[in-house]
Amino acid sequence: MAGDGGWTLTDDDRQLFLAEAEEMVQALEEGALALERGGENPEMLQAMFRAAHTLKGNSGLVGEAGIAAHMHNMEALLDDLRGGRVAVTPALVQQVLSGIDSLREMLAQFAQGGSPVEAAPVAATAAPVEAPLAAQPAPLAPGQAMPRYIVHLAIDAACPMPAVRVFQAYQAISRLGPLERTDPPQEHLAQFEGRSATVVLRLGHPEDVKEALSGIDEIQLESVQAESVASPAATAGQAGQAGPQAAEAEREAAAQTVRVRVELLDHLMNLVGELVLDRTRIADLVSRLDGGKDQESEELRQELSRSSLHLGRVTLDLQETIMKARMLPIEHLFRRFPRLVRDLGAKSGKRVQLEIYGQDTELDRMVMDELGDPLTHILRNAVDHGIESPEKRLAAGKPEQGRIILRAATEEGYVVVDVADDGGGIDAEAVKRTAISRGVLTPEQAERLSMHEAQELLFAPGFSTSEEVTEISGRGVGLDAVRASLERLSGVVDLSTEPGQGTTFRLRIPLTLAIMRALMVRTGDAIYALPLGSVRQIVRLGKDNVQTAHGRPLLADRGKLIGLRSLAQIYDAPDSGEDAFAVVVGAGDRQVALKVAALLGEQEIVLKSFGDFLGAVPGLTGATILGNGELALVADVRYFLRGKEAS
Amino acid sequence: MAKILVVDDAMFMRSRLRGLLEGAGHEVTEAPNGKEAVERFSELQPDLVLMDVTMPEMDGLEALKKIRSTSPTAKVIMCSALGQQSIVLEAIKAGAKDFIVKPFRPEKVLEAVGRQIPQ
Amino acid sequence: MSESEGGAKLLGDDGELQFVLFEIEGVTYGVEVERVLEIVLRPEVSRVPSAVDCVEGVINLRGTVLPVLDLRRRFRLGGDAARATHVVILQLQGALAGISVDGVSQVVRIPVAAIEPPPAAITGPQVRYIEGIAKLETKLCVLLDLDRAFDPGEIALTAGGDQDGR
Repeated sequence: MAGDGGWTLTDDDRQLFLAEAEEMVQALEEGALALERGGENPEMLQAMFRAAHTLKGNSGLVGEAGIAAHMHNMEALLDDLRGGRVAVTPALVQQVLSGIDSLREMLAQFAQGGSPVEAAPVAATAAPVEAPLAAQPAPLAPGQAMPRYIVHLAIDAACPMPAVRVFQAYQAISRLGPLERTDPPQEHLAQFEGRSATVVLRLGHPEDVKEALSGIDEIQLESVQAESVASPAATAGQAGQAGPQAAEAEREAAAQTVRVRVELLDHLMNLVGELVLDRTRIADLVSRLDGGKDQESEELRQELSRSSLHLGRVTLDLQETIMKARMLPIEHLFRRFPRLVRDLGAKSGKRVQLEIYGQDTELDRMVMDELGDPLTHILRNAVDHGIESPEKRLAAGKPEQGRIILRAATEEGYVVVDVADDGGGIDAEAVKRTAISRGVLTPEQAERLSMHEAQELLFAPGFSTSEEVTEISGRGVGLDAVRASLERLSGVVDLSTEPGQGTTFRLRIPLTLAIMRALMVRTGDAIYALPLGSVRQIVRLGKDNVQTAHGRPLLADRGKLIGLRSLAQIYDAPDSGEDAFAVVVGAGDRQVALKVAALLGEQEIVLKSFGDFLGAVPGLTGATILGNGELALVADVRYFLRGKEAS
Repeated sequence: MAKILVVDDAMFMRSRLRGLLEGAGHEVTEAPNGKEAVERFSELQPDLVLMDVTMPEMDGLEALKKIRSTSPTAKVIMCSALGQQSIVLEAIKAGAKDFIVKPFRPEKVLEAVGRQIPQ
Repeated sequence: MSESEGGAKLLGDDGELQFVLFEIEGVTYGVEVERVLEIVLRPEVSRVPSAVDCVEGVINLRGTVLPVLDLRRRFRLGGDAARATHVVILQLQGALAGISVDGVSQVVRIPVAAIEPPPAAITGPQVRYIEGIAKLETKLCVLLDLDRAFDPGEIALTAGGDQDGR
């Protein structure tokens, strides 16, 4: 590759080059991050490829052979990606990202007028090169009047595209007469990398060949020989290509995984649900079979019973396996955050270190997709508002560098993600002041707010945590959006803060949207499922623990008063008046006691939506199908915790 | 002197080629993508087109085919990069006169242009 | 206006159309056979609280949860859905839903010529939901315009008051 292109560069040229390069780098990085999110699409890969390609061309032009070579490697990699020859793996995305980092360094060096830089050994996954194809002699045409000639062509060693030159030559020679045989054969030209070619044809004036080839660069006529002269067949270049085995290995590894649409897994899950029901029915039938009448029917009954049990175990196994297929380590999501935090810190002039724990915690793929935006927002908040400026930190006796801890762990069917910063904490008074200035609260109301209630204001729509709106956190997107995202996942977000010590956001998300453990209860005419993650305790109702204050029923439990509501009433169902228990459900430090008639026990349930026609129903996250085929409604605990009765 | 249409999505590349070709006494018009190239071509009927292969909107190959379908004698030189051999091959089959490979050497560009435009 | 529109759509065609007929509160209704996925014995319907007015509840159709719509409430017919014997599973705009019916009589071919626009005597908002009236040998049959009768947008709109129960 020519480094000394012979162009002279003015300062304007350099500026233009750098400005355009910056655009390309951005496009590449955006694309790489999208890949990481699993959101790649052909247009995006095409755009990335184009960016790499353009930058390669430009850098060649400014004599930056190092950058050009670097971009060539990246381009090859992206070409494989868009061609589907290479699968998107975490390692691969990392490769692209570090390639972009090296590129940035190279460009920075160029901007400082440094000497031409060397290509860093990154993004070295070369495109698998197709094996050279064997020459294919075509049958010779029957004897003609003109003598047959063999034309030997030589291609310049520096020619970058021998196939095209050879094709041009074939095209030019064919104007003299039909080509009877060529080596390489025309249909395999696209893969040709050799340096010589042979054409056989009948010619009246063999000297015309030279003239025909005169307009074609990088190709020489070696000889034109009459057929009678024996000639060794010219062979296509057979130079072994480095790395085909490695490429083969990579392809094999990729072949061991397949991409499956989540909807397909959902469908499988539904089918398994049906199997479970059938299994239950069979078990029911077996129990009703009257064995024992005679030896034979008793044996049949036992046989059937064993088969039914086995069917049950297999079905359960199948269910779990499908669930596992939907799970991915949360690393897939976390991987993009170190860069985000680094970049945000750099922008705001803060030094921030991100520590990540529990990367191998597994989470439903769909849940993970939904979690990306809220987590990004919380991290932005932590860098932007949580961590103080280096000066402030030093003045407060803290290390200059701020710390953010991102931690994931599994807890009883839930994944808990903590984002903890060691920043200045949230100033409840400042929050109140802002609320008053925005007309959210009157000064009198603010006065009465507890610390926690003040913090809750942060989640109110349109409320921003900063007194001054900064470029980084952006305008108008507040924690209300974070809470809304979490609620869509049947999850919960809470925060705890210690002035001067830092703030921790805690996200609790069901492991999977589809399966959860629930406490089944009956009240009125229906059965409800209460997600177990929100169930705090169960209390038998009696005369001594139900009170009334200001006309509101309360449950007295170990000195505490909890708002008491009838589950039937919440759902506009007839209250049979036979409620005997209270189930205390809560999230964060809000809780409410729900009156129910009967407890039906814990159960793993498969959550089903109400379908497109109904969409979301307030107060319910969906329905689930019970063992007998009946439906139970799955309560959205968050919905009634927001009510006034919660305390 | 010839009228030459330079098509490339990189402004930098276009400006370099313009400088080179104008220095050699040609008249240069630019287009940033294949779609505009087709439009400019029918307006201006240039003597020669330098056509980048990889571009947004409409790539070079498609633009070449469009141009050749309305002007079968159009002279187009493909500006390609290493690794695009099969595309260039297809372009030649579709009627491109020649090709140059990035990174360009100025003399190579002028040679290729010279082969298409008799001085 | 809407009745002539509804009628014109059918009257433009020649030949016959196939309808599935069912009864609700003594009236025979018909829907185009292409829109009917299947007809099942009415399973237990779980009431969905504070859902829109014409939604009776949800059922379990072999592992899928489907809403069941109540034509009685939609058309203000009165009566009780609990009398229904079958649920007709219909393909509505992009979504599946069932309607509870008192009885399913048959699938009939109705000549286009036998379909008339709703008589002027029928007034009120419901007329928009009627595609036409077909005269059969022994009775009249109301042919439903399903997309209008169960337009999710319109249903959500009319139910705005109910939904605000928080």
